[in-house]
Amino acid sequence: MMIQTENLHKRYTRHEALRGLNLSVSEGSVYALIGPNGAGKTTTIKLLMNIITPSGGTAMILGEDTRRISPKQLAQIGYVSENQKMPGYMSVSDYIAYLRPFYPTWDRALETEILAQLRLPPDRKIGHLSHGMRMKMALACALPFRPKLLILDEPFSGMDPLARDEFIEGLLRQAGEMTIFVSSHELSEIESFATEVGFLDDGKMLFQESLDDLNARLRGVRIILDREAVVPRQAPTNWLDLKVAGNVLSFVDTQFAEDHLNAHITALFAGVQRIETQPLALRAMFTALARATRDGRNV
Amino acid sequence: MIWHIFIKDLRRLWPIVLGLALADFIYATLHVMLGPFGDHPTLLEAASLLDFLISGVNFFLVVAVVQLDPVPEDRQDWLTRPIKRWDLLLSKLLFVIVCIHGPMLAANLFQGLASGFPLGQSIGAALSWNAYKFVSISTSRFPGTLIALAIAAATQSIGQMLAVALAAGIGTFLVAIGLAYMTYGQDVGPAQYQFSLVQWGLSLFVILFGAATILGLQYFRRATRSAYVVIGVGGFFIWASFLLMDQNTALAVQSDFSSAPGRSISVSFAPEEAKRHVSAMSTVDASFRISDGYTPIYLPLRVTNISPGLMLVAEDIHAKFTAADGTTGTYRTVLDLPLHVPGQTDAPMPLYQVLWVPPDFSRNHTDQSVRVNIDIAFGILRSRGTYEMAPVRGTLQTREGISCATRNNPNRAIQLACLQPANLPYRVSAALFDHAKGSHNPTVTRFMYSDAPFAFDSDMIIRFGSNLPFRAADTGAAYPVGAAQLATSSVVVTTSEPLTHVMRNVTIPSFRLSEWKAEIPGAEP
Repeated sequence: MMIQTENLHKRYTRHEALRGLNLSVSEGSVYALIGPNGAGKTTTIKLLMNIITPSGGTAMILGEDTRRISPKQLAQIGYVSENQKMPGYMSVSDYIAYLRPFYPTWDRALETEILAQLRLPPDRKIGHLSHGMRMKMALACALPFRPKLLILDEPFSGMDPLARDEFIEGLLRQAGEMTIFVSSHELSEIESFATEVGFLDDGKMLFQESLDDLNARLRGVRIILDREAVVPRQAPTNWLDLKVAGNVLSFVDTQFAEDHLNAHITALFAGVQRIETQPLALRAMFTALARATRDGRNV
Repeated sequence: MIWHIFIKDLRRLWPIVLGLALADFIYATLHVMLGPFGDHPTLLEAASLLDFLISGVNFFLVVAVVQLDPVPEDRQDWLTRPIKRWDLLLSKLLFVIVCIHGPMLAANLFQGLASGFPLGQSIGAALSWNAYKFVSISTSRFPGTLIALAIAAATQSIGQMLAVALAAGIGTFLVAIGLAYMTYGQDVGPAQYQFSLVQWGLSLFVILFGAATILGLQYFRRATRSAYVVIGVGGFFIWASFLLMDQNTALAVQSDFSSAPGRSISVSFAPEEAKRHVSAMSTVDASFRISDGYTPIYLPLRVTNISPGLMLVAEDIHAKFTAADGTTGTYRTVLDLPLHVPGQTDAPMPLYQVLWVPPDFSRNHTDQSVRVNIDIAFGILRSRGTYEMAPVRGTLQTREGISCATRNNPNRAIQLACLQPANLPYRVSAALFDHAKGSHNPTVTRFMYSDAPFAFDSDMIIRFGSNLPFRAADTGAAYPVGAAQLATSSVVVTTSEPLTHVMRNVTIPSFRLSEWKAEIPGAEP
C-alpha cells in the first residue's frame, strides 16, 4: 500500500477533525478523497505529509510511519496544495533551480517539457503569478523528479476552466506509473481520472470503493407507469433517493443487477410501461450515498 | 545542502548584508577617529546613532533570514520538500555567522589594529566581543543574535515577531513590577548593578539553554506553543536572577568558587577614630539627600589582615539601623568606599563610609541607642603592573593590553584616557608624581564595577579615563604637583586585576546617631 491509515484521529482544541479514519491507497491507483468543505480532507493530507501530527491512530506512507518520514521518502512524494506557500520573491526558474538539487531523480528534460507544457513564465516572480498559475507552478515543482506518489490537495479550487484543463492535461500526461492521491470537492473534475474514491464526511470515511465498482453497481433508475406513481412501503434497502413525479418513480439502485431490478419492480408495481437505467455521474453517486449514510443506512 | 540554502538566502538579502558590512566599518572608523579621549561630540553622536542602527538591522536581518523559511506555519512549501531540518537550521546559523558576525568581526579587527593594539589582542577582542553579542541578552536595546534566532524561529512574520516582542516586553514589565512589589522593603538584590559574574553567567546559561531548546522544538518538532512557554519561562528566570537574587548571595557564591586569597580579611567599627566631614566630591547626592531629610553618618571602619600586594574595594554596603522599639531603617549603596592600597602613604585607614539614615528613623531616634548592622561585599584585587608616562602627550601600552594617553587640561588637571579591547573588567589607579621634589598628588582610581565581561556593552574597545587634578575639589587647596611642575613630573599608572569577593558583617550593638552625625561643608544646619 502506498498510503494506509488505521483509526486515525486528529483533535484540535474544540474540534475533532478526524474520527478514526481508515484509508488504503494501492500502488498505481488514482485515489480521490472527496467530501464537503470541512470534512477533514486537508487535515488528512497534512497528517500524511507529517505537517501536523495525529492525536491517535497510525498513518503510513510509502511504508513508513508518517511521523518518521525523512527526506528519503519526501524525495519520492510530489505535493500540490491550494494552500501551498512558495517563496513569492523568487522567480519561477530560480525556485525550480533551488529545488533541483534536493531531488536525486530530478529530470532536467522533463522539467523543460513540463514548463513548456504548462506555459509558465520563467522570469516572473511567484508572488506575481495568478492563483491558477501558482497551482501549475506547484505542479511543475512536483513532477520533474518522477515521484512515486503525487498528493494533490484541492488542486482545482479557484482555477478558471482553461487553467483547470491545462493542469489536468499536464498531470495526466506525466502520470505514468505514479500513484495519485487527490482531495477535492470538485467531483466533475475528479471523475475524469480517478480510479478509486473515498467519501469523507465530518472526519469519518463514509465509504471507499473503486470507481469501476461504483459505476457497475450504481444506476439511476426511472420507472414510467400508466398511473400515478407512489413510493412503495416495502422498497428494497438498496434503492436510495426515491422520488415521485407524476407517473414517474426515480431512485438510485446501489446493487444494480438487471434481473433482480426487473423482478423487484414487477413484484412492487402494476402498470409498468417502461424501465430506464443509466450510469450515474460521480456527483449523483456521492449525493445519494452520502444522504443514505448520514441517515444510517448501509450502502 | 547547507551551502545551497545559504546561497538562496544570500541572493535575497545581499543588499542588506552589504549595507550592514559598510556600516560596521564606518562605525569602527568613527571609533578609531575618536581615539582614547573620545570627546568629539559630532563623531560620538554619529557613532552612537550608527551603533543603534547596526544593532537594529542585525536583529531584523537575523529575523528576516530565518523567516525566509518560516517554521511555525503549516502551509510552507519547504515542509513538504526533502530538506533536512538540520541543514535548514545550520544554513541559518551559517548565514548569521558569515553575513552578520563575519563583517562585524572584520570591522572589529580593523578597529583594534587601527587603534594600535597588536594583532593577537585585536583578534582575541574581536572574537570575544562577537561571541558576547551572539549570546547576550541585548546589545544597544536590541536582543542578541541567539535570542533573535529563537524569536524568529517561533514566529512567521516580522509583524508577528513584533507582536511577540511587544507581548514579551509587557510581560517582562509586569513581572518586574510584580517582583518589585513582592520584594519591596526586603533585602533582595539591587542586581541591576551587574556586579556579579554569577548573575551574568546565569543569564547567559538561560539564554544558551533556552535558545537551543526553542530552536530544537521549532526545527525538529515544530512545537510553537511549547517554544512560547520556553520564551516566557526563560525571560522570567533572567529577570528573577537579576531581581530576586540577593547581590551579596551572588557574590558569596562567586567567592566560594574562588581560591584567591582574602578569606582572612576582617572589618570592625573603629570608634576611636575622629569624625570626618562629608566631601562634596565623595557624595554627589549629598545636597539632594539633605534636602530630603536624610542624616549623614561618616563611619570609621578598620580593615585588617590584608595580604601584601592586595587591594580592596567595597562594592556593596547594606546598613540596617534597629531601634530598641524594633523600628528599622535601611540604607544601601554601592562603590562608596575608597579603594585601599596597602603600603601607599595616602591610603585611607580607617576607611570612612557614608551612611544616610532615612528621615523617619533619624527624626525619632537621633539621641537613642540603636543597633547598626552592616553587610559589606568587598572586591579583592591584585596589583599587576606600574608604569610611567609623560603628563602631556604621553602614551602608554601596558602589558595587560591597556593603551593610555595624556593631555593637559590647562590650569586644572592632566587628562588621562585609556582604551582596553575586549571590554574586560579593569582597575586602573593613577597619580601625578613630581620626581624633582619627590612628592605626588592623591591617587585617582577608575574601575568598572563588574566582574562580568562586557557588562557595559557599548563597544568592543572600552574607553575610560580620569582627570588628575592640580587642586582639591572640595577645599580648592593646591596639590604638590601643579601646572608648574609638569616638566619634572610623570603620571604613574597602576593596573590591577580582580581576584574575588569577600562578604563581611559589622555589628555595632549600641550607637548614637547624634554622636556620629557628619559635618557637611556648605550645607544648611
